[in-house]
Amino acid sequence: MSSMIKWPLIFRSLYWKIFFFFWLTLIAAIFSVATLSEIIVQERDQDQYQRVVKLGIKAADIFETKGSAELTVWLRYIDQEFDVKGFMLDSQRRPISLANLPKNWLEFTLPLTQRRLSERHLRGFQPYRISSSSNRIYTFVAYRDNRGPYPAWLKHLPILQVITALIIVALLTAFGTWRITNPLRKLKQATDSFARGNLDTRLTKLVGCRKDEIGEVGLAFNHMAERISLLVSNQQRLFRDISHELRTPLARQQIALELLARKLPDTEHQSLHRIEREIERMNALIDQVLTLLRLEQNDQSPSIETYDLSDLLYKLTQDAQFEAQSKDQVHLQQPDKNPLTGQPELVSRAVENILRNAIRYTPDDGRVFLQVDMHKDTVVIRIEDEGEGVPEDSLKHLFEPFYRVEASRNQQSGGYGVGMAIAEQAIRTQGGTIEASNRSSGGLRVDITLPKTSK
Amino acid sequence: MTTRILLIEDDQELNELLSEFLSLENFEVDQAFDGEQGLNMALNGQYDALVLDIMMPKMNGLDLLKKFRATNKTPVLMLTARSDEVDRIVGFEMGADDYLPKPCNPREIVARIRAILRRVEMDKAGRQASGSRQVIVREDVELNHNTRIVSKQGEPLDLTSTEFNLLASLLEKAGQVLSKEVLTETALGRKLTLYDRSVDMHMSNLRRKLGPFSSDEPRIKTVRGVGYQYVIND
Repeated sequence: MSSMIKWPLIFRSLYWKIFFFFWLTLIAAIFSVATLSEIIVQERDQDQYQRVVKLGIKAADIFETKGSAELTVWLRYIDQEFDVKGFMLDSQRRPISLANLPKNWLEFTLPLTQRRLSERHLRGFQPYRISSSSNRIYTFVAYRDNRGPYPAWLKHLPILQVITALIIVALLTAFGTWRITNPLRKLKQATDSFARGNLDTRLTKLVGCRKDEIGEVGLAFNHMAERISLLVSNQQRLFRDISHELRTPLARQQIALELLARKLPDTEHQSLHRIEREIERMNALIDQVLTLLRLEQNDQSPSIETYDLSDLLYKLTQDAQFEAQSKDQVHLQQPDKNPLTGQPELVSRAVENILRNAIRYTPDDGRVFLQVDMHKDTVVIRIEDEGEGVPEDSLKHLFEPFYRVEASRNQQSGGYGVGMAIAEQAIRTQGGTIEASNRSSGGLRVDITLPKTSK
Repeated sequence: MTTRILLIEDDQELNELLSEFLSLENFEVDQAFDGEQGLNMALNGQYDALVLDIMMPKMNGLDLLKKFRATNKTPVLMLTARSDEVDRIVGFEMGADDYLPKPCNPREIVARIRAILRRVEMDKAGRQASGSRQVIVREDVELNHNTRIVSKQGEPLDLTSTEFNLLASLLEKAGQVLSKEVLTETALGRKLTLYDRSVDMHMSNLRRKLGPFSSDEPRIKTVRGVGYQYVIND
């Protein structure tokens, strides 16, 4: 249910939640301790009844000997010096000095039975019955003017100390909170990195120095990562072994087929060609799967070199035109020179695969556009075709191996196979991104973004 | 005269099938089933060409090639795993004359063997040709058709047979741009095929061995979409 509450953005972060929780707790603790000690002090004050009575008698004597004005001086004096605040009434409950008269002083001039104010309002007013040296009766009403919502000690708050305390508390809280949330952030980063396919990601630092629950979480993450990467690599190895093993019989089959072709009359050769084509297809598929696996494993140390992208794309376009057997289908628009640093082999593979798909899905009289845009740190290679495009919800699956867009749609064309997956992996390996979208005028658009200098 | 081929391939059945096929194509085939056996036979026998698999027990194809090339110039056709670019590049560096991705059509193997042999014949013919073109000198580079040795500033360069042929073609027509088609035919003795990067790979090895001019300008320039050119440095 708490998720229903719309917290301001700042409080949605765990860091600030914990920070404010601790900070407010500590401040509340300081305040309650202070208030508590105030009450204790108050109780002790009541033991000093005698002291107040003595001051009251003195006040009465001053009034009798020196008059009202002097009494006022005296009452103010004891307020400041002895922290005893009060006003004086004579036996008829009339004030005999203007000093320290509270707002509700009239109340005290009434007989007890006629008082209108409740007990609550009179709390803190303590009347003392005083008899002066001449045995006349007075009333000294001592009170504390802490009628506001704040406890009395707030008035005497030592501002500097409080600010210092708040800062220290804030620093301590900040550190404590950081100790909790920082590992969580690290855990998030590690999980993200793992999710992006860096199966080597481990939380070594976190596990190394923390033995508490957070350390355990790190340990659990590492166990999980270890297990998953083992499973993945086992599976990849299985795939690779199967693919390799499939090749050998295919190679034998191919030669056996040729030998057979020598022994059979020419009339049978059409069937043999058919088989030969299928073998070729299988070979090509195995190749692609192996390529993808090798890219995913990424165990080769990358051979980074400087190359001319324009040159590379030109060659690719030439080959693609040749393969498509239509000279003007591919329209290439790019700068004359475009030096990049990275892995040309991989870029070439990625663009080649996407270009092939574009050509395959474009009708014979349609065009394919290959355009290069330069940005500050990146280069965007845009490949657009004039095919039918892809349903919106299929776009994000386009780079999955063997993903098929609506079975009915491309029964003849046979789906996207592994080519797009290889392209994506090849680009990602170099720190680039690849995105597919539909053109408003129909057809598929693929944007490859490459850093000008990849790691 | 029959052509003698040594087939070095560890897969027993594949080896049998391939040698049967090659025999049908009028080659005389000897079979070796691992790297050590292959190297022994290659060094001790008189073969016109070697067909060499890369992945083999005891000694792999690249090691074999390296040891074999130390003393022998017999042409070698290398069979590589299809998608393994690195093997290909290293193979050419070690002195393989051509490669074929495996598995491949055996007719292609035969075509490549014939192409290599044809080129060797051309080289021999070239050596016997008139004296005027036996030695080409251009600036600090000297190419001798007779001895098939290239030297730069008097120092002999360690070029493979294909690299020698490429450089010879380029030097003869220095300043002109030669297309990949032409270079493939003169240096590899066969037609250029689709996605064929053989010439590019040989060329990059050649460039590295040759180095740039003293002005740091490249000696061999790539002309995009056309081919390669040996630059005349004035």
